[in-house]
Amino acid sequence: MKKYELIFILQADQPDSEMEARVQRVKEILAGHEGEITQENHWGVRRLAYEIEHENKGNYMFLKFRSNGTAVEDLDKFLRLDDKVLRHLVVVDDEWEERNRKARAKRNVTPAAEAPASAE
Amino acid sequence: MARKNLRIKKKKKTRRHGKQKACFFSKNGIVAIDYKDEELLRRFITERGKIAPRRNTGTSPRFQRPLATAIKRARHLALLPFVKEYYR
Repeated sequence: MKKYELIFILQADQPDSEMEARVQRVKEILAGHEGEITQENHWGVRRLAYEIEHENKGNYMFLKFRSNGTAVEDLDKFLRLDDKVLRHLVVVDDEWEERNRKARAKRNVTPAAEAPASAE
Repeated sequence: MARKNLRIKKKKKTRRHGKQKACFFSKNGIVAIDYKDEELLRRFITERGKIAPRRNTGTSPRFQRPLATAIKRARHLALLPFVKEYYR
């Protein structure tokens, strides 16, 4: 069992039911690989940094899940074949926040990071 | 006369090294870079949306590599641009 992160972008003009249907389908796929969703975070409609398939906005869904590695292939296939999904990404969960928090605690640095000189 | 002028040697370019900037990630105790942290990543791209070179940002090699990966992931998800809009 490994931890993963999954993000997909749905067309913004689709109703919420479409989003729910896809999350439901992801759950079903995971169930077939002894997996489960551990965290669900709906980012909502956001502006895209560039146009994808003539869309300027996208409905983002962020999920964390645990499952066997075999699930990734199936999820990837499902999301790739879905015309209404603009983009998707499945990556191993690096647990950024946790690791950063630990490192900070170790070094005793306050989380308020000062801004560096921006790149020219 | 003209031929003589051709032989004038170019002056050797001297490279000026600025003050070494401290690596942002090392300094702030960040171990892992999150591709979802759009605000953070935006500090490390140029005006045009390119990944900023280390000589400008002072990022250490250890963090420049994962940083590049994170920026590329963010671009895929349309969180960051490949090219800024008004340059297209």
